[in-house]
Amino acid sequence: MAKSNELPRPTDAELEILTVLWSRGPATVRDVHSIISRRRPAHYTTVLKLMQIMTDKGLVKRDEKQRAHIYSASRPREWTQRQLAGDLLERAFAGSASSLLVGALAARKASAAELAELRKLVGEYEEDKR
Amino acid sequence: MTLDHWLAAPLAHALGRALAHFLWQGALLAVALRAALFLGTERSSRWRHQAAAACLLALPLAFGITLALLLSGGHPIMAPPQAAPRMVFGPVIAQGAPAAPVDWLAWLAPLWMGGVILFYAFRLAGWVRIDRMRRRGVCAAPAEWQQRLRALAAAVRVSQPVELLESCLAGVPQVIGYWRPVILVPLGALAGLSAEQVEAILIHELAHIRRADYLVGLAQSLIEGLFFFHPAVWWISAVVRAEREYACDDVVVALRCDARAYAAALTKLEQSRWPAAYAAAAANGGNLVRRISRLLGEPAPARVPSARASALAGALVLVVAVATALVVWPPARSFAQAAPPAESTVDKQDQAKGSDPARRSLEQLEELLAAKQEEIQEAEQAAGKAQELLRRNAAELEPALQNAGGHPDEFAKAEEQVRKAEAALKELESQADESQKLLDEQRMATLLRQLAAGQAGKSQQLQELEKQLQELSNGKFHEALRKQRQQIAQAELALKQAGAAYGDQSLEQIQKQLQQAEKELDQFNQGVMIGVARASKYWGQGSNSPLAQAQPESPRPQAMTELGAAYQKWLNEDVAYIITDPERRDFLALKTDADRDQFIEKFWQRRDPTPGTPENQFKEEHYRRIAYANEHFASSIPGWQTDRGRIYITYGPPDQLSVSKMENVLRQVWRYTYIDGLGYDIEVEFTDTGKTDDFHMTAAPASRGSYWQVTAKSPGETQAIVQSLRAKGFQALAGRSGFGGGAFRVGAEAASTSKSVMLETGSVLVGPYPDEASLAKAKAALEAEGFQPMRAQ
Repeated sequence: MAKSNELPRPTDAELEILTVLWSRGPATVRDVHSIISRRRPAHYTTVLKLMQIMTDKGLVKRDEKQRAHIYSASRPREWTQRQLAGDLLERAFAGSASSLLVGALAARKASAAELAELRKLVGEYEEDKR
Repeated sequence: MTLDHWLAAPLAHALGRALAHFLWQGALLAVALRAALFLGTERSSRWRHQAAAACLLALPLAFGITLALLLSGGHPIMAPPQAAPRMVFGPVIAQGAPAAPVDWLAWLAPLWMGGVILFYAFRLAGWVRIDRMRRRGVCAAPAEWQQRLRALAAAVRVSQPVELLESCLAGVPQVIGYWRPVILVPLGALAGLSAEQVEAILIHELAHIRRADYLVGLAQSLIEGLFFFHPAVWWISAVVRAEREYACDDVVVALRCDARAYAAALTKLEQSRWPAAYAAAAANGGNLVRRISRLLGEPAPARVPSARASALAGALVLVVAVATALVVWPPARSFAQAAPPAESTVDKQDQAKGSDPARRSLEQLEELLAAKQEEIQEAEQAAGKAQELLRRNAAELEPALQNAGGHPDEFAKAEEQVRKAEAALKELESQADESQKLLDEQRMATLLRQLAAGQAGKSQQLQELEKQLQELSNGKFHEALRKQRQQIAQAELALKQAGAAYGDQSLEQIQKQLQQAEKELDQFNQGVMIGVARASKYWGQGSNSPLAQAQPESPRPQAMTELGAAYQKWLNEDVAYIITDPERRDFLALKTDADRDQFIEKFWQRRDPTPGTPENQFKEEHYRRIAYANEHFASSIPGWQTDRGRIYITYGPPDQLSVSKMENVLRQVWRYTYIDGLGYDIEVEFTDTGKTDDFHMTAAPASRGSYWQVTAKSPGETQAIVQSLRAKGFQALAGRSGFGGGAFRVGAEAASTSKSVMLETGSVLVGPYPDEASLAKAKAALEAEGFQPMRAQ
């Protein structure tokens, strides 16, 4: 936290807004609110207030050139993801959580060698397609 | 409970042995699964997944059955001693269970438990973290995709509503939850892949939901945690995971047919996944290369983990060997030990401790008894000491008194001696207190004896104990007291003689002191007697104690004030509701049982409606009512104590009974035509709110009045009736006068006499009445107007 260029870690509510901005790109408060309220009831003013606070914190940037202000995330998602992943608790339980994970890909990231092999296998497919 | 105690418990032994057995059971199941998978190479992934899952489920089953068998008797199926230990598939424990407990095996249980708890704690934390991903850093996916997902869900036959969310925390697409499942896709995945590829991924996730893999994964986690120490379990679990992915891949290919596009999608996802937060421990992945080769129909690449597999196989063989050694070794040793059975006392004790808690408690009881015996011996010694003290005092007192006869100077000395005797008495008294305490303790010993009375072989010891108690409290004390009394009488005599000789004033004083001493002695004596009586009462409860027989005439004064149980029951139960206060006082003042019997007889005679006949209808009816109440109204309390029981016993069965139910509240209204002292038309209301199992009185017996009815043919006629009733003294109820709500009240006889009339409906409420005469008068007036009594209001 000491470094000036380090942004504060976003709260859960702020993270949600950031997710929307990363997903849909630069958007107005109204856009963000409409996406958030699809998942849970939220007040427009709450979202507006939150986004103003985030602007002050530097988490989002505000483009005031148009009448409706357009917000965008100030950092790419990878940056924030890395910041969140650095959480000690997250790391401590990540292994335990990953064994409960059900999904298309394994919890463990493929190694460089495996990736190369994968690319080769799929590359053959891409070539076949042509 | 210390760890040592715990380790000695049969559960610890059973657990330790079950865990040792599990080593070979787990290995065996893994080998069985390997064989089944080998045989089913050509089968579908679904079949292979099911086989692996069944194998995983068999693990806790085998362990549980083993533990149950070991706990229930320890020798489930005893193999003949000479037979070689057989390996039996499944949960059967064929090897002769080791008869001699191997101590270090018991240590396995706490270590294992600690490990399981640690494991579960971590898994729980992981689960909380995963579940949090449902809400944290997510946003709803574009509506088009949500719609597309619904169509795909129908195709995969997923019935529960599925939510599609984009997550900035999820590195890979994943499913969370089963009943309200959520599919999380990493941010950018939807945009980065072609629509066809996204669909393929979504089908894969939907297949997971359809197959309830989230729940299977949780169960899997529980089993892994339980048997964290066994590599075979981890292997089986990994097979389940791998086959699960293959099975879902198969669903995708079956629905979309384009395996290559799907393989490309998986590769792209893998490439684009963000720097892994969970690169750490998880070793369950890494089969993507094989999955994709499988999808593309390529031969599986030379298996890198073959070295690992052979290491695993080696570990398995090792584990099986060790487990077998463990299981086979103890019986061999125990057979060697069993040859000279006389020497295996340690085993026997151990068995007695483990298998026979009754015997253990008996041993404790015996120990307690021995301790009590010791205390009794101490008491005996104290009694002996007291006796000696008395004797010595008497010996000193006698010559002093004799001397006092000769010289007046010696009188002072005699006085001194008497004072000493008094002091000695006091000491004796304090010792008596102590003896009383000991008697209390002996009582406890007696109770313990009663507990142990059933045990053969102990009775002799107990008889001895009893005899000692008897001697102590009966014989020795009495002897001592008798002697003391004698000595004091002698001293008195000597003093009298001395007084005759000198006529001294101080002699009287001494005599007074002596009397005082005697009185105190009496008190002390009485105290001892009461103590003995109490003790004998306790002994009397047990067997035919010789002491109880020796003390038939209890020195306790005849119970002058205490009531026998039968009389108490009569007073507080039989006639509790009908006895008057003066009668109760009189009864309680009675001193003897004969008086009480006489009182009871007279009590019923006073109430007999037909005196002179042998039957007493009142008494019979009264006891019938009690019996009826107990039979019909009993709830958590006896029937006669309930509200309804009380009213029934006091006033008898109601003349009318109306029952209603409103909003689960049961209501009973009992109506009596007349109750002596209360008046006419008495109602009692009981309600049962359902909260208790009983009706409670909500309106005490009181006259509610009775309704009279007349049919008025016209308003004019009604008016005439009103005027007529008014003339007869009926008054309109306050605020309800006139024809509109014509309720009327009558005050004919006295201010308290009120009657009311409901004219509009043609009915009249009459009552309550203080006496029959006023009721009759009101009735006559109403009948003259053509009113009819209305019943069952």
